[in-house]
Parts: sequence; structure tokens; C-alpha cells
Amino acid sequence: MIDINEELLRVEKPARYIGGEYNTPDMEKDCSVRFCLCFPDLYEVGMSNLGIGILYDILNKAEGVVCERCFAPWTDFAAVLKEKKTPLFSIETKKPLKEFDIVGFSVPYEMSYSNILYMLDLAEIPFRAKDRKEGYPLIVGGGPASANPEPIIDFFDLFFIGDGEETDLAVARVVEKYKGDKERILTECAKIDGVYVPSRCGEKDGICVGKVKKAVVKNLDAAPYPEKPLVPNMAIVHDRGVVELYRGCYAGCRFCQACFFYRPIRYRSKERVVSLAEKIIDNTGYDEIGLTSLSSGDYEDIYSVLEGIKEVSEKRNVVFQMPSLRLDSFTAKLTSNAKKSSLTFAPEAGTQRLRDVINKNITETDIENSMKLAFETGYRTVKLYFMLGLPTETDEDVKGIAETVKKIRSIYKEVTGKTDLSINISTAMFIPKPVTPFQWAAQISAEEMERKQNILKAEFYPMKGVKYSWHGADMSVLEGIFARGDRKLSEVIETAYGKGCYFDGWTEKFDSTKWFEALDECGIDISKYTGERGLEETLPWDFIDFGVTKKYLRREYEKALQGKTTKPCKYECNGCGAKREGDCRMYSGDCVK
Amino acid sequence: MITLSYRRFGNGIYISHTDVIRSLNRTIRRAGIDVNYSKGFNRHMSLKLTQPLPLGIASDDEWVTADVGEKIDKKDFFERFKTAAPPYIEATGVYETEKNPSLASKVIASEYEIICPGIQKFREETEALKEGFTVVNEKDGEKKEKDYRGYIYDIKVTGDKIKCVFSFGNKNLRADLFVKYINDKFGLNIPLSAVTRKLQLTEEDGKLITAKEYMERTERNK
Repeated sequence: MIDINEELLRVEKPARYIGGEYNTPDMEKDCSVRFCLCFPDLYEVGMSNLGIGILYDILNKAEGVVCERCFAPWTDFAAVLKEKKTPLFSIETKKPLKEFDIVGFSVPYEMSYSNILYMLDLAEIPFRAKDRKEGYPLIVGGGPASANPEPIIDFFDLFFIGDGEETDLAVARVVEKYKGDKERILTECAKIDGVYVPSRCGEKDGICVGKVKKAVVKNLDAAPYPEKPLVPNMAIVHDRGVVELYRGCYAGCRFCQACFFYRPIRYRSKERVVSLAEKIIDNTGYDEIGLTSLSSGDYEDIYSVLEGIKEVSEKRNVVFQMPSLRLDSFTAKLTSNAKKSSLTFAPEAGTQRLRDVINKNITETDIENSMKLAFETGYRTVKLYFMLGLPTETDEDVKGIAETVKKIRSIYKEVTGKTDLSINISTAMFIPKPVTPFQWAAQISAEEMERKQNILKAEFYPMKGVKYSWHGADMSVLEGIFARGDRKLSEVIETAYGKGCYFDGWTEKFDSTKWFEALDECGIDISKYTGERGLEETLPWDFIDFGVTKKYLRREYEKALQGKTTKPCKYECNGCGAKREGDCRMYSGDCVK
Repeated sequence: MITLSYRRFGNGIYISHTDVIRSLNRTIRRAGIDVNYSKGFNRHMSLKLTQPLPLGIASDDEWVTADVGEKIDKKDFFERFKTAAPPYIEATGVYETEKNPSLASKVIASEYEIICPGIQKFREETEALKEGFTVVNEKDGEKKEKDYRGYIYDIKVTGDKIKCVFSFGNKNLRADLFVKYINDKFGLNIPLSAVTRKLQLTEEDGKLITAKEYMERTERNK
């Protein structure tokens, strides 16, 4: 065990590194496999990640397995580790990462890739799988990055694709059985659905030629869920109890990776959701509870769930964080006593034409009615989310965002007779993502991104009470490169890390110049990654069977270009292919088999 | 009103005062104790704590008062709190009073114990600091002298330990500042984790009494 207690007082927020949270499982139990679950960002970010919480719970409940955690230390603590020549360690028992049997990274998004290297570096573990001989832990990855793990796959021995509930434990069991024989472990793991072992797949022109099936938890209601989650000793990003309502999404917005990646649609029953909320409140003492899903308003019996949770939370003086819902008379009633801080709405595009292209099934009338009701209910602040750079977007569509804002301001004046409305507008840049109908679409250049942002800045400048924020162009381009990237990019990540790039998701640490230098030095043609892809082209993630078929995505892409919408699949299956992976829940409890 | 005394130790020294408040809130909710809430816009549990401790210092004598009305017996409160507390907080005593004992404003001094091998060599000089000392602080390029005369009730060196009583509250001498001062003055390297707040003190009839004695008297007079 590493003793670094004295040094903790030299760093900011030492509670990030101490462990010992309430509900920590027994770390002393008999075990034959030690798993360290890592998250390539700070404690307060990683502890807000539901996936980490679920896997930690499952692994620690399993006989013979102990799971610990490690988060990326901030630069001050990393400097202490280097100064004391101490390798990065787990926060529970302060054991060096390199002494674990398995070190698993949950990879949340592209800009966290460099932090994987940062953590491996601090842990004194070689970056590349080929350079790690016997004696090093098995380095595994998973999480949202599994939609296309290729840019980072050289750093991993294996990667979990899809839901991790069953596969993480299955791999732990293989490690338990064949401990010390890495080759045998990899061969056996490659046989598990949802486990991608690159060294066991063929490769052609840098693209995997094997076939890996995404892991799917078939019965979400029966799936394990942490009833006694860890209670952090410091404030974290989402500092509340959380219950996952359902997995998957009916909506089919064509830019959204999560919508297609997490299909088929699987529900947790209302009874289980309410009972989990009650247990989590009682076992943690949280003063806030919330629901999570991709679109809570689309859960068939949402109001009955909301009433159930409202009842258990009010009894305990706990605040129920209502999910973002389409505002109607029923939600207005439910929130009538709640604090009216701010209403969030995501039209994503400024004109009906473009909303049809992206299949965001919201009409002008929906926006107007929701806003009217919101202002009548007492809301005085509105947050609006849009995207820029969407396929087929024109300057008219960009200006349409400003027109929508003007309309909302006039509705407010009509309803309240006042002009004190506060509107916060945020624009993200469109990034074509794998497993979406837009996976073939081009991403606009950084210059074009800035030009579009400037149009909006000029539009909003004279508007009182309007605040506009936007996502940086350089970071968006890099996200675009890595989102649809291939194995050649691992060299770029390593080069950029060597130049001092890490914590790239943090504005104060992000240095785009170094990243573009790294791309240049590695001979990467950026346009090849951000440009339009041919419909017949083999894409780096084509070897993964996501359930949703490439044929369906292509059909949706073609419909998008014709401005045609597809109805959400609540009542009728659109034939995306996800049902092959298990029951896909539609309204009235029917499942597509 | 129920007032609880507790120890904050181990990992508790790395947890900030606001996080400790959050942790006490959660402990009380886990314990199923029904506490009154504020009536404002942002409703919060009605808890009153004594002055915060700097990060790095343990304490054997922390206090929190909860407004529970008539809802719970103090022994029950104590037992339930004990079971639901995080590993770095240990309940040590419980008192029931009619009104808020206002400990935060009553406490005027704290007694600390500092474990300091090698301090015997500087015993006389250390104890002489009882008369006060001055510290030069630099802020925005401007040097300011702060005189701590009248802030120190007592300093005694016994073996490897320094026992000291400093004023606390409006007129405040922080133990971490004293440790830094003697480290610089004597070339020592005492870590903050060597410091424990042993007692919080209030004043009665011109004499210092412990918070515990004050609470016992207040409880008897209820």
C-alpha cells in the first residue's frame, strides 16, 4: 500500500484521492481477481458516470472479485506522484495499477483519449499492447467509445463493445481461470459476445476484418443496478441519486449516436424504478434524486413513474430533479410546486426544413405551445440547444435560430407583458458519428464553423437578455477526426501526448496547436477523416454488429438528403435491425420480436 | 434541539468544511431522523455547526445542532446517527435543549495538541510565544504585519507534544498558521496532520469552560 497522506495537503481538493466513501464494499474479502476500474478524467466527473457505478457494483458483488477505482489525477497530484517516484494507484487500497490483474478504462469521448496515456504513463505501464509482456495487467476498455474503438485500440488488449453488465464479469472469470497465461486469456475472451480482441482479428489496410457482436443486456428490469451506490466525500458534477429509466431511444434523430448505439429499447418497469429510487435515497442520504435515459419523456408510462418518485421523495424531504420533458398540461401540474429555475429545450436546428433533415420531430407549433405554457407556469429563463454545421445547412437555417429566439421573446411578452426573459443559447458543432445515418456526411471546416458562429453573434448582439455560448471550432474538428478515425490515429495520440496534450476536454489545458502539429508530423490528411465518406466504402467500425444495420442507416441518410422524416418507432417498427439483439419495447408493452 | 459532539479523524482531515456539512446532512437522512427544514426558496436541513477547521487538522471535539422539534429522543438520535455516519465521523455525545445553544457564537477558543518530535529543544522559546508573535503576510505585493498578541491563552510543551489554546471565532488564530510559524522559526517540519483540536472552549464568569461543560449546564437548565 502506498502512503502519500502527507502529500495530499499540498494539492487542490485532496478528497479526490482518499476513497473510503460511505457504502464502499469489502475490499478485504477473499479474491482471486483484482480489477481496477479507471476513468480518464477527474474524480468528480468519473464519479458522476453511471456506467462506472454499475460495473463497480456488479464486480464487487461477484464472488472472488474485488474491484477498485482510479481517476485521472489533476496536474498537481500528478506532479507529487512524479516527485515521489510513486506509480499511480487505486483509491481504495492504494495499490499500484500495475499490480492489478485487470485495468479497465471506461472511455467517455474522443477528447479523453490522451488521458488514457496520461494515466498509463503515471502508472508506469507501457502504452501499446504489443509492448506489454507477461506481468502487466490486462488493459481493457469500454464505454461510449466502443462505437469505434479503432483510434485507441492499439493501447488495449481487448475492448468491450456495448453493454458491460455481463461481459466485464465474464472476462474477469477467464482471467481467474487462466491467470498468468495472457495468450490463452485473450483467445478465450475473443469467444465472448461483446468482447473485441484486436490480436485475434485479421486486419486489411488498417481495418479489422473480423466480426464482433455488440453485447446487449436483454432484460434490463432484471439486470443488476446499484442500490447502495458510493456516496462521494466531496461535491461531484451530478451529486444526486440516479435511476436509469430505460435504454435506447425511439426518436431516431439522425445525428445522435446514442440513439442507435443503445438500441434495442429496453425498459425498467415503473415498480422497479420507483423501488430503486426509494432504496437509493435511504441508502445514500442524497437530498436529490433524478432519472436518466436518452429521452425520459418518451417512456410510455412516464407520468406514473414521476408520480411514484415524487411521492417517495416528498416523504423524505428529497428534491426530485424532473427530467427534461415536453411541456404539456400534465407536466405543468407536476412541476407546479417546483422551483422554476430554467426550462431546457433542444430544437437543434433553426428551421423546419433542417429539423426534418435531422429527423428532430419538433414543429414550430410544438415550440410555441411549450414556451407559452412554460411562461404561463412561471418560467423566466430558457436554455436552448442548437447544432451548427448540420448536413445541407444554409445561412438561412443558421439565421433561423435567431428567428426562433425572436419568436420566443415575443411569446414571453405576449404572455407576461414583460421583457425580462433570460435566454441562454448554446450551439454545438455537428460531428458525424459512427452508427448514425450521418456517418457518411462531411464535417464543415473550422473556418466555416467560426463563420456560422459569427452570424449568430451578430444576430444576438442587440438582443437584451440573450446569452450565446458555442463549442470551440478546433476541438470540434479534432473530435470529428477521432470519432470516425482508424488505427493510424493511435500514433497521433501518442505524439500529441508526448507534446504535453492531456485533459484536452478542459479548456484551460487544451492546446489545439500541439494536436495539429501531431497530425502533421504523423502525415495525417485531415480532410480524409472529416470529409464525406463513400456509401460503398468500408468504414473502420464496420466489423462491429451493432444490431442496427448499415442498410437501415443508409436508407435514413438518403431520406435525410431528401428532407423526409421517419416517425419515432413507438407504435410501429421502422426495421432498424436492433430487434435481432433482443426484444425491442414499443408502446402498449408490445415488443418487436 | 439536539446537539451532537463528534470526532472527525482519518480521511476526514482531507474533507472541506462544506463537504462535511453535506456529509452530516446525508448521515441524518440515512439515519431516518426527521429534522426540520428551512422555509426558504432553497429548502435545506436546519443544522448549525461550530467554526470550520482548516484542511489537514483532525478534531476530537466538533459540534452540530439539529432542529428536531419534539420528534426524536436524544438517545435514539445518537444511536441512529452512529450507525449511519461515514467512517471518518464518530459521534461522542448528545444533548437536548429547548433552544438553540448557539455554540458557534459561544465558542471563543480552541485547545490543540501538536505532536512534534524534537520540540523539547525549543521548549522555552515555544512557551514564550504565549506573549504573542507577529507574522508578515504578503498580499498583492504589499507586506502587512499581523500581531497575534492577545490571541493566545496558553502554550505548554510536554515531552514531544505542544498543548496550546488559541482564540477562535471573531478573533482567530488558526493552528495551521502557528505550525507554519514554528516550522519556519525553528527549522522544523511538523505536518498539519500532527495537529488535533482537542477541545472547543467558551467563557463563563471570566473562565474558560469546555463546550461539553457548557452543553451539560444548558441541558440541565432547560
